[in-house]
Amino acid sequence: MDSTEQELLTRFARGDLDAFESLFRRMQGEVQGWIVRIVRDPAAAEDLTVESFWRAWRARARFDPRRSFAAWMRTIATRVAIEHLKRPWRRETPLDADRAGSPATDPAVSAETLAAIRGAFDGLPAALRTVATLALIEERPYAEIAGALEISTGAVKTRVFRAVRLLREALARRGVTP
Amino acid sequence: MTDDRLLHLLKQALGPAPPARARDLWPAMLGRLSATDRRAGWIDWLAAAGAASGLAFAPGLLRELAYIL
Repeated sequence: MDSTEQELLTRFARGDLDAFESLFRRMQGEVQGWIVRIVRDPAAAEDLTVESFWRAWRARARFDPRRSFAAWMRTIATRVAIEHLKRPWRRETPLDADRAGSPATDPAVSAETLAAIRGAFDGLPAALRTVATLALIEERPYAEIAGALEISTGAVKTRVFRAVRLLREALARRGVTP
Repeated sequence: MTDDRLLHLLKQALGPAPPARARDLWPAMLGRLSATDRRAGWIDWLAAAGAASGLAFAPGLLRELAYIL
């Protein structure tokens, strides 16, 4: 990290709004992209991005300028996204049918089966669903996911394993045997 | 069903993540910050009013407060 960057982060930690704006403008796309990967809802991702930066601003005094701002933001954004997924009243979007079945659609698999899989996946606990989405669907490196969740890579593997097991059980209950 | 098959179906069922909207969110951020400031200001005034009315009804509290501080 060069001295200019360090100075910017130090100013942010001291409550300089201009420094915050610079960081916001630089990081907005990355944070928003990360959140949309988890919640899969571009409209909600906008609100959650603002919420994430707002939390960062409130916690600025606890930020260590020697740390990576991007990694810190990813941790906050992941927490905010998981909280969103836990809300029972959040609007359903993402897992709907029109988004499914893009290029790799297998015609041998019925629409009912895909809907059942979406439903079963949507029913996973938010934290497991987040890890499974990032690891299995988005194929993000385990180390990156571990950093965002502040857990070990071993814990990421365990959560992926549990998510797959729960998904299998949910599919079995729905009688899905593709 | 093998893990590979399940993963293949899962990817197919969920599809790729939608693209994030390219909109400048800084104005929304500023709005959020000023809303928070306004709320904090309102709470400050309420606390000040409470303290003032407490002192008006029990002026002896001021001496005790000064002693504590």
